[in-house]
Amino acid sequence: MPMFDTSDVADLVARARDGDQAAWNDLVERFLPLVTSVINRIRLPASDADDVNQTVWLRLVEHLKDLREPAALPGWLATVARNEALRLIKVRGRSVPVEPERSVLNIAVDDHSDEELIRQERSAALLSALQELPEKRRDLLTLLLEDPPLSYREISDRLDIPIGYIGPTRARALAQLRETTSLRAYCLDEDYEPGRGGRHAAMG
Amino acid sequence: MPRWDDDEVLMADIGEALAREAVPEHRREAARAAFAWRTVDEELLQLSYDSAEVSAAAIRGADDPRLLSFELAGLSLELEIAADSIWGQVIPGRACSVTVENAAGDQLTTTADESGIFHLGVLPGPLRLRIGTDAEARQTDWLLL
Repeated sequence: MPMFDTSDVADLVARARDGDQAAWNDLVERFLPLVTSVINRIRLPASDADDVNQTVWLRLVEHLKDLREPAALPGWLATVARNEALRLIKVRGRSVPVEPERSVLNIAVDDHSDEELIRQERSAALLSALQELPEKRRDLLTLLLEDPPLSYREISDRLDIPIGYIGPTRARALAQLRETTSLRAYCLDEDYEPGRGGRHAAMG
Repeated sequence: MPRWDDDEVLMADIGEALAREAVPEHRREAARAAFAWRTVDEELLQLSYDSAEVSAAAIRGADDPRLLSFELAGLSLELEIAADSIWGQVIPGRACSVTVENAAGDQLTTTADESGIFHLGVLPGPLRLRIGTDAEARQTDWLLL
């Protein structure tokens, strides 16, 4: 069973490298939610968050040519987004007085309640995990969650699969999702305490 | 992962994740527009030091300017970022043009003196610097100051 559906990402990267704007737009559609979720986890003024987003994509444009491993793209994007956002907090933090025992980073993170932080972490892990599924399975889960809900008939038409396959495919997709690198890493990490450094500190 | 052993809970959480990530349209536009800055086979000056990246707070005063160093094939670029301007030096020193540009297409250009020292203004948003012209040009990756 293929763990990563990377062939289409590899193809999009190759086409974008050759100047295909449509392929680039597809990459944006696919990974913008992930980038957004990483940036949103770090509390920044809206204009700074926009700057970080723009920087991430400008960097990717420059690095398309040396991106050898498409499977690494989500991790690469998340790392650039996180590093740039944290760096900006550090730079901005210089003009604000900081209590010595509290780092600039902790202040930024503490603005969220623990519950909210947990939800954000969970959502980011799930979005990243979805990117590891084959496109058809990801599309099926997304269609099943449409609001207002779609009928099985509509889903069957859109994905060109028999109605009888929808239930079993959903179960297989969820089983596969649980085995993704993203969810396994997230679950290993579940005992980490929000707002106390942990993953965030390690990512700086 | 006890929470996600249940298919229905897992589906509900995926639904929440997807709903949270409704991306603002201007972020999508910025991401798409970034592609216009694609360059072909340009070698970038590599960032080798950033005072905002190392745990510099402990050893440097809070109001000290941010320092950045870039290198590529024997050429270095040192930057000192003040509130609204950039002091820089190209090493080995040379009189050459230095340009700062942002993704909105704004540009500022100056000329470094014979020891490679220059002074430039800052532009809003992510920006990058380019040293020299034409065949000799070298540029940095995009930076947020």
